[in-house]
Amino acid sequence: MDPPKHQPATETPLNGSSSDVVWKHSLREAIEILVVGAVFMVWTVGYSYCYGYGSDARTSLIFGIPAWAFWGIAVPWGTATLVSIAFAFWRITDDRLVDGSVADDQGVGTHD
Amino acid sequence: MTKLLLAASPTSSQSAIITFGLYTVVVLALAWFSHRARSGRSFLGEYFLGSRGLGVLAFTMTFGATSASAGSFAGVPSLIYTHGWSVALWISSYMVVPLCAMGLLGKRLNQISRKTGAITLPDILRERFDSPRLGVLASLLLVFLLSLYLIPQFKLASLILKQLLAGSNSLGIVTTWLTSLQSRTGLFTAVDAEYLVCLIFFAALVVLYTTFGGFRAVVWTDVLQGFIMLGGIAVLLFLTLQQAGGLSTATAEVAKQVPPRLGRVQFSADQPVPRTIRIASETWFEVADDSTGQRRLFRTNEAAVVLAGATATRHVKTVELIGPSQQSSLVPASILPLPEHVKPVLDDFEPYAYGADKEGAYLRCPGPSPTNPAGFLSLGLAISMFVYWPLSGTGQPGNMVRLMAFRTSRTLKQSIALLTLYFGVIYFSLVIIFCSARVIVPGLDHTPDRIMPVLSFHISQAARMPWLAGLLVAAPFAAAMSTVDSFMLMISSSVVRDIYQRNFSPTISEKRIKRISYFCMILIGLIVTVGAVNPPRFMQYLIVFTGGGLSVSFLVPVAMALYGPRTTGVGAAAAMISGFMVYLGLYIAGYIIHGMPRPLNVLELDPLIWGFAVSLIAGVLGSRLSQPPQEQLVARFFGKAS
Repeated sequence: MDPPKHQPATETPLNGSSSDVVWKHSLREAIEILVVGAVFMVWTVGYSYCYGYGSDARTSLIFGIPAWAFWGIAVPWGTATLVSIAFAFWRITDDRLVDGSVADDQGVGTHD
Repeated sequence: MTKLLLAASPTSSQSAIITFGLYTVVVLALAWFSHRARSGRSFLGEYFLGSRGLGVLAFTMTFGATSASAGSFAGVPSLIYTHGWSVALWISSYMVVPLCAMGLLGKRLNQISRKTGAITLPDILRERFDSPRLGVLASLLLVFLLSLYLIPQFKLASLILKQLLAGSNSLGIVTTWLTSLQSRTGLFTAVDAEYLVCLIFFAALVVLYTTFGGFRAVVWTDVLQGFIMLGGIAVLLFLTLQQAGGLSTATAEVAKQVPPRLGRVQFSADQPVPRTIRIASETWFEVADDSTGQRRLFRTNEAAVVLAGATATRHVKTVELIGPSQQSSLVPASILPLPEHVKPVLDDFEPYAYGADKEGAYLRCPGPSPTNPAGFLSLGLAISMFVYWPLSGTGQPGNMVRLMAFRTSRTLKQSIALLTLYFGVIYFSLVIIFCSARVIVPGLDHTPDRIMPVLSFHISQAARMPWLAGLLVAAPFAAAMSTVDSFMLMISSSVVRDIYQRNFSPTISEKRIKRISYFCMILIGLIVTVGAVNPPRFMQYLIVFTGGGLSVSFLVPVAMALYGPRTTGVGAAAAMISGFMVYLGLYIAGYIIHGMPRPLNVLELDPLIWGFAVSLIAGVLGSRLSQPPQEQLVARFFGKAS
């Protein structure tokens, strides 16, 4: 699942055409990120609506947090953190962002 | 019977001011180092984009600090204090904000900006569509909205500074001098001199280090400010929970609370008082109810003064606490009688529109609301906000500029992970801290915007660490600074690069462009400072409007530019204009219909959601109905089609 390091900025399929590989990878990743966001929205808002609203809402506490907020917000938040980290390291391709085709007018430098 | 508690009102301490002074010195030192580090490099690329060399720590912290404006440390705590745990749901989508805001556009935006040599967002749009007019349109919209956004940020930062310096000798001396200057010149006589001093200090500090240090200084100070925010929140969390007896105890106490009644009180005497009497803000007092004989407990939220020779104060905002649980949290022995002959005259005290007399209201959704009979967070608003934060974060031009400046893909990946942890700690902690604050600092419901500094001073004094208040108050101040400096730099880059250099003087020398950039930065600082001297009313409204306006104007056009080979300049312009106009229209309609600054939420959805939807439709239609883009242009950015 770990993508290859520093893929070139363009790839050449067997049919001879070449499309920008950063574009293709980024588009695929963007769609997957939107799906991840939607899943967590359904979980968080859905659970909170079912158990956190109204006068019969569950008000028992788990670690000092209202039960609905624990299962509907704290747990998905923790899960989203793990998913985001996993996604960043294993789903986002390590593309090379400079193709050298156009001169960059910037110097070089680092900040940390 | 009337009793009075002269509560521990937030007074500044010398050590807090020293802590804050040290912070200022470090910020200026970073600007100086940044200025030195810049020598020998291309001015434009270095000054406005830091030579695209951001590493993981710098990129994460500058992204996080710029995203967290002063609103995060004033508005959000205020909402949590007022509406309780329902705000956890309101803000919950921050769990995916780093993944969305960095991951949706990051890699592709960085690649295109390198490919074209672009250093600003309008630069990207201009190059991508080969359309100078689109570049100018984007620049003008950007400059307009960013300038509007800066005014409330300047005001908020100045108010925070005023809170910190209140009562200090230094501020007193400068204020006295300025007051005499105001009366001599007749300028700004209606403006509070303390506020004016703080505004000038803040403006000078930000303009100085941003102008002198450029993007690199902004990033370095963002890193410092990011750590200050993190440290401030961590200390606040620890001390708040310690003083509240732990989260379980605090939440159990909050569960017993019912929303208070809000009203005003006038303190009056039977005859003119011989000397001025001051009743501090956050003063407790009791009044016996004539009909029932029960005692009613109140807390002022503003200071009240009976001037010598007068008989009454103005009507000051006051909270009446309801229910035995809130009263039992006080120490009855510390309630002192009011000054002799001074009696409170109560106006009508109104119950909350939703949640009044309901125990546990602060633990449930939709959350209590003083004004909305349906409560704070309807289902529609909850869905709306879950979409709002990630898309708004993704569409912020300030964030996009940072996405153009990270070093490699690997930097982006590691920063997503780090920022997710950072935001998780910051925002979830805010919910815990300010829900628990209801137990430690009850009765601040009429002016909840002040809860952050008031809580900071309260727990610092209780922990016998007055210097800590300086650090804690520096957190929201740092948040304001880190947003302001980034936005000033963006305005300057838009004016210098996108408008001046691109349209009037393409061959301008580096020396001259450096001078113009410095001049532009100082001019922006001056204009915004003058705007903030007498800022327009409804500051929070302005912040929300301009922040959303930036996202709704730029997210869809930029996303389509990066991912849609068929997108045309006409489509991008249509997306930009239509999204902003719909958003603006819903704000204007809301103002007309409600008669107050409140947007029109069609189907309970925020105007931003409608703006995004219309922007997308207009972008697609505009692209389909206009001339297809040149093959050469498509090939340059997307490669050859098969």
